[in-house]
Amino acid sequence: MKPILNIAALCSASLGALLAAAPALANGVHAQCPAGILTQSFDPVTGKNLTLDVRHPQASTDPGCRDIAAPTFFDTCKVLKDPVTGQPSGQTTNPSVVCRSIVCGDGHVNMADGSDTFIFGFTDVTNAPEDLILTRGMPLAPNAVPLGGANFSAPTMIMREGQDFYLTLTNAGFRERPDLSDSHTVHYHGFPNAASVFDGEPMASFGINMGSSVTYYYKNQYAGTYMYHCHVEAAEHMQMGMLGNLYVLPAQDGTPIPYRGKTYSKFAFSDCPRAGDPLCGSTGYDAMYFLQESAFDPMFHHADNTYNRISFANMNDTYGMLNGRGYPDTANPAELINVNNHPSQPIPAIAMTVDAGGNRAPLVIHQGNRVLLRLSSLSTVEFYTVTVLGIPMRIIGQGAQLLKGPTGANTSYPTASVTLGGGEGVDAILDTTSVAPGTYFIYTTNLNRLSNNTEDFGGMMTEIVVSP
Amino acid sequence: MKPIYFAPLAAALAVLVPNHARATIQGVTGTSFNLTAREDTISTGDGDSMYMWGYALDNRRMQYPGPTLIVNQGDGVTVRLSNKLPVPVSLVFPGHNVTATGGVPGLLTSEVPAAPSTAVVTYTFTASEPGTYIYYSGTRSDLQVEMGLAGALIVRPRGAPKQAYGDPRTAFDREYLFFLTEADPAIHQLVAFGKLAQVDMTARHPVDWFINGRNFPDTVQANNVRYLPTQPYNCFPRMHPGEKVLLRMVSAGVDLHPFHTHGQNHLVIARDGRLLSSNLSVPNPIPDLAISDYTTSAVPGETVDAIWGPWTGAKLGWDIYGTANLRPHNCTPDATGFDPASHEWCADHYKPIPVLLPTPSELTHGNFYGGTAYLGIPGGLPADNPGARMQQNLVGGVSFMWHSHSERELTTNDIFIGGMATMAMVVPMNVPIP
Amino acid sequence: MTSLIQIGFPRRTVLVPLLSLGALLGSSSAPAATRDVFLRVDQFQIPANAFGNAAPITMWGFIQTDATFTPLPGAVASAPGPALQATEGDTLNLHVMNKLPTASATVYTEPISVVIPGQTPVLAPGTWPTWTDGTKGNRAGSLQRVRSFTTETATGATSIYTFANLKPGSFLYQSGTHPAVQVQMGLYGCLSVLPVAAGQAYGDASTAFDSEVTLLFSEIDPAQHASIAAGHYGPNPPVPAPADWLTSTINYLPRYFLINGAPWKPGALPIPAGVHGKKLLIRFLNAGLQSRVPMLQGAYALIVGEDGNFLTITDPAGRVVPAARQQYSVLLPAGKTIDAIVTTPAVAGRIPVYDRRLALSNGGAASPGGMLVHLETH
Repeated sequence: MKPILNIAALCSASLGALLAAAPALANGVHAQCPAGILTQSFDPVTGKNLTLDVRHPQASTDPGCRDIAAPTFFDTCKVLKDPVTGQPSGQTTNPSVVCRSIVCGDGHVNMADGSDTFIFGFTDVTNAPEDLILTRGMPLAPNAVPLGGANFSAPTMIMREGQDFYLTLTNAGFRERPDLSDSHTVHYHGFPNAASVFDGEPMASFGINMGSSVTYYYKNQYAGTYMYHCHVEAAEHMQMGMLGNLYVLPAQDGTPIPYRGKTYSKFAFSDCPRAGDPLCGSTGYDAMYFLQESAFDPMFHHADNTYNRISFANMNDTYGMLNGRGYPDTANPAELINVNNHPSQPIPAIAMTVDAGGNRAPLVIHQGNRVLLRLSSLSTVEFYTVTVLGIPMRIIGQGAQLLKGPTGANTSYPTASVTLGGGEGVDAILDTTSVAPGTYFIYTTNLNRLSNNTEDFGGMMTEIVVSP
Repeated sequence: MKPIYFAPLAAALAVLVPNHARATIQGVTGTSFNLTAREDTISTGDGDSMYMWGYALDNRRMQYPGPTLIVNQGDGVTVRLSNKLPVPVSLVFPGHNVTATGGVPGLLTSEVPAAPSTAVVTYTFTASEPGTYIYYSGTRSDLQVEMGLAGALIVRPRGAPKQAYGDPRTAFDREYLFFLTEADPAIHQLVAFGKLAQVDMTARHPVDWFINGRNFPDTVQANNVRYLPTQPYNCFPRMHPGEKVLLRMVSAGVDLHPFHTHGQNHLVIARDGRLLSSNLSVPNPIPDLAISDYTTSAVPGETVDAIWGPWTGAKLGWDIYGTANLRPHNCTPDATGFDPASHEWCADHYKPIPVLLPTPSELTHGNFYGGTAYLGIPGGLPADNPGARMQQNLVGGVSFMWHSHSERELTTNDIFIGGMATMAMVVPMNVPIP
Repeated sequence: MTSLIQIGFPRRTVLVPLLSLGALLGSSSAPAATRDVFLRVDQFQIPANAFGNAAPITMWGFIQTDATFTPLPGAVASAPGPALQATEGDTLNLHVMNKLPTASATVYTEPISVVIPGQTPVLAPGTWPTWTDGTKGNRAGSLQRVRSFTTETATGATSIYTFANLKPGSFLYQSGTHPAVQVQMGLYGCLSVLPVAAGQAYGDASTAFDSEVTLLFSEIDPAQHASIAAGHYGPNPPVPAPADWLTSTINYLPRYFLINGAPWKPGALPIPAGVHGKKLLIRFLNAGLQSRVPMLQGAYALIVGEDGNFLTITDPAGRVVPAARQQYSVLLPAGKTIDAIVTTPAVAGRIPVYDRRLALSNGGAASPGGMLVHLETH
C-alpha cells in the first residue's frame, strides 16, 4: 500500500530547503534578543537606562558593558534587577520585549539541616554577553566558571502579559559528571496553545546539546501562575533540581480599580475586561507571595554525584522545600551560600524586597492587606497539602486561569488548604482584614514532611508576618 | 527510515479511510454483559510479564483494564459475573444504585464464591445519567483492584452520542479513555505463588504505572496489537486543529496522579459522572462551574471528564503553517479571526519565527518531532540522532506529551521512560485519523 | 458579602451571607453563648488486640472533665477526643490541662496547645508563636524554629484557649504544638458548629438536614508511637542509640486506619443514619497525615461545605448562590473537613462508606479492616 506522502523525498528535500532558506548561525553559544537589555546605569542626558547588547557588547550604550576582557566586567555592567527577586528583570529598550538568558549545569545547595547536596540546575546569565556565558557567566567571582554554579530554585521569571519573551538556554555540561552528555530543555509549563518546537518536551521536539544554545520564543498572552523545568529525562533532571518559578503579571496592573471599598493597582489577572464586569478588581492585592513546592531525595542526589546508579522506583523525598529551601531557611531573606562559596539558593519562601544595592528585607505586610499567594508544585513524587493557619484564603485562580465560569460567574472559593501534585498551580488571596498582627505559618498538613530528612522542626514550612 | 511496529505507520496507511471524525472509544456496547473474573498475565514496558486478575468478556481471556462497557442513558444494564479465581470476587458500580442477586452477601455487595463455584451474581442498575464511571471488585478491594479487577463504564447521553452530557457545550470531536492505575509487581508475584497471606498492603510500593493497562510507549501502539493480547486498549490521542477532544479520565488505583496535558489547558466539565454545575436539578444542566487547568488531579475512584482543544496554534506570534517561502497557503478570517476551514489564526499569517533555531547537530531530537517547527511540513531527522531511526511523526504533526506529572511515575520498574505517559498529536487536516 | 467576624468588636448579630430572603435567620436576635469546656490531655493505651495489634499502642488524647479537671463519669481519654458542639456566634473557652507524664530519662513529654483551623483564637499580642528556644512573639533571628503556633501549656499546667464568634461548619481541634508528633499521637477531635437556624449545616436552606453523622478519619503508625512511649525520641540520642530512636517523624508509615477512632473489624456495628429517603449530613474530617478519599456506595453526596466555608458562587447578575458539587467520592486531604448532604436511598438499609485509597487492612494483615463503615437508615 503506497503511503500518501513520499516520506523519503520529503526527508531530504524539505529539511534541506529549510536549511537553505534560513540564515544559519554557526554552532555554539548564541543569545538572541532583538533589543538591548537595560542596565542600572542612566544616560545623563535622557535619563533613560543604558543597555547591554549581548551579541555585540562593544555596541552597548552602557560603556561599562563594552569590554568583555575586563576582569571587572560584571562590576561595571549591571543589568536591571527585579526588586521582588533581586534577579535580572530582563527588561529591554522595547517595553514589549523581555530577554532572559540561563545556563544549565550542576551545582550544590545546602539543605536546612546543613547538609550539602549535589544538584542539576539553571543559573541566570542575563547579564553576560554571549561570549562570556560559558566562561565567566557568574558575576560574583570574576574568574569563576558557571559550571558548578547551578541555582535552586532556578532563576525566577516575572514578566508581563503581552510581552514577547526570548529565553536563551545554554548547555554548560556537568562539571562533576563529565561522563554525562545530557541535553536539556526548558518547558514553559501551562503555556497556552503551545507549539512543540518551543514546548521543551524533548520527545516532541528536541533538547540542546552541550556547548550550544537555543533561544525559545514565547508570546506571553495570558497572565497567571506558571512554572518551568527541564523536561529531558524528566524523572532525573527534575528530582535533581531543574525547577523554576514563572509568573506573568496582567496588563491591567497600574490601572486603579476599586474592589470592596479599596482601590488596587496590582492584580493576579486582567480581571476587568470591560467596566462593570462583576469580577473587576476581585484579584486585586497589596503584596505578593510566591511559593513553589518541591522535594529532594538525598540518596538519589548522592548517587548522581558519585557515579552510582539512580533509582526512580525507590525515590523517597525526605527534604520538603518551598522555593528551594527547607524551614527555617524558607523564612530567611538572605542569600544562602553553598559549600563552594556560591549563593546558590537565591530566593526565600517569603515576600521580599531587594534594593538597588542588593540589600534584602522581608516585605512588610500590614493588617488589612490582601496578599496574593501564588502556589505551585514541581514535586516529582508526592502530593502536598498546604495550609495557611489563621489567615482566610480564597482560591481565585487555577491553572493560570481566573476562576470565572463559562457563563461569567465568579467561581472563586474559600478553603483552608490546597492539595497540589507536581505540575499544578493555584492563585489565592489571603485576606488579613481581621487577622491580628503576628506570625502565621504556611505549612504542609502532611505533618511528617515538617522535617529536613531526619531533622525535626523543618521541611515544607514558611511564615507570613502580619504587621499593624 | 521506515520505523517498525509503530502506530503512525498505520496512520499513513489509512489513506483509504474516509476522513471524518470518529468518536468511538474501544469497548463493548449493549445492555447485558457477561463477565468472568479470571487470571492471566500482562506485558510491562520493561519486558517483563506480570500475573493479573481481571475481568474477561464472555469466554475470552481477561483484559486489563476490564472491558469498557458502553451503554446509553436510560438503559437497564445487567452484568452477570462468574468467577474462575481462587478467591471470591464481586463488582461495584460507584454512582449507581445496584441490585445484586445470587452469590453470597459481602461487605459491599453480593460476591461470587471462589472457583470452582459456578455461581453467577447478577448486578442490575439503570444508567440514568450520562457520564464516565468506574467499576471494580468490592471484595477485598485493596488487593483485588491492585491485581487488575477494574474497568470503565461509559453512559452516552440520550440521542447525543457525540456529547459527553445532555448539554451541547459538552460536544466533542474525538474521545479517549485515560484509565489510570499503578502496580507493585512484588504483590502480584506473591499472589501468583499462592501466598496471599503474606501480602501486606501497607507495604505496597508501586513501580509500574499505566494508562489503559499499558506502560509508555505501549500506550502509543495500536489497539488490539497482537503482542499485548490482554491489554487491548491504547491511548494515542490524535486530533486535527480546531477539534475538541474529550478525555475520560478514570482513576482506578489508590494513588493520586496529577495529569498534565502539554499544549493547552483542558476544561474539566464533570466529576463522578456529574457536570460541574451550579444547578443539577434542571433537565439539561450546563457546566457553568467548569474549570480550565493545565494539570488535574486524578483522585482514586473518581472520574473526570475534560475537554482539550480546540488547539489552533493561535497567537504564537508566528505562523504554525509556515512562511510564504516554505509553504504558500491562504488564510481568510471569519468574525473570530480564524480561517473556518484550516482553523489558522490569520493575524499571524506568514509571520516567521523570530529566532534562529540551532543547527541540527546541536540538538538531540525526539522521535515524535515532525522534523520541522511547522504543522504539515514533515521533515526527516538527522541520521545520527536518537530519534532518527524511530521517527514516529511522519506527517508533520505537532506532538504533545500527556502524562502524570509525578515524574517518578514516568518509569516502568525503574526504567525511564515508561509508566503513565502518552503522546497526543495534532495532525494536519488532510491526514486521516483512524 | 461574607459575614464579618472581627475579634474585639462588640458581640452582635452575626450577619448571614447571601441568598434569597427566605434564608435569613429566623432567630437572629438570639444572643450567642459562651461555652466553657474542660479538657485534659492524658497519655493512654489502646489495649493489645483491640484491632489486631499485637502490642498495646500508647496514645495521647483529650478527655472531657469537670472544672477541676476530674474526668466526667464514664469519660475515657480517646483519639479522637470528645466531640464538641457549639452554635454560630458562640465564644468557646477550652480550659485545657496538660497531664502528659513528667519528663524523665525514659519518658518523652512535651507542652501542648490547642488550635482550631478555621476558627479565630483570642490571643494576647507577643504571647505567640512559641519557638523551640522557648521564646515567644515574632522571630528574633534567622535560626529560630517554631514549636507552637499559639501559646503553650507546659506539663502539669492549665491554660484557656478562647475562640470567639464561632463560624458554622465542621472543624478539627488539634494540638498546635510540635504537630508532627502530637497530632498523630492522638491530639485531635471534632468541633461541630451549627448555625442559629435549626436543621441546617450553614445558614441556608440548601444545607437543611434531618440527621447527622461525623466520620473522622485518622491513622496510627505503631512504630512511632512505640518510640515515643519508650522515650526514644528527640534530637540528641544517647550513644549508642536504641534501634528505635527517632529524631523526626519523616519515615511515618501508618499501619492502622481508623474512622472515629476505630478500624473496621468483624462485628463492627453500623452507624445510625436516620430515616431512609431523608437528608443526612455527613461531616467528614481527616486528622491523619495522608489524603483519604471517602467513597459512598449507591449514593451521591452534595458537597456543601469545605473547612467551615459554605460553598457558593456569585452568578453573573451578582447573586450569591449555593454551588454544591455532586460526587460519590470526596477528596479529603490531611487536615481537611468537608460537609456533605446525602439524600439516603428510598429503601431503608446500609450505605457502605470506605476510603477509596483502600486503606482497608488492620496492620497489613488480611482485610477487610481499616477505613470502612456502614451507615444504616431505618
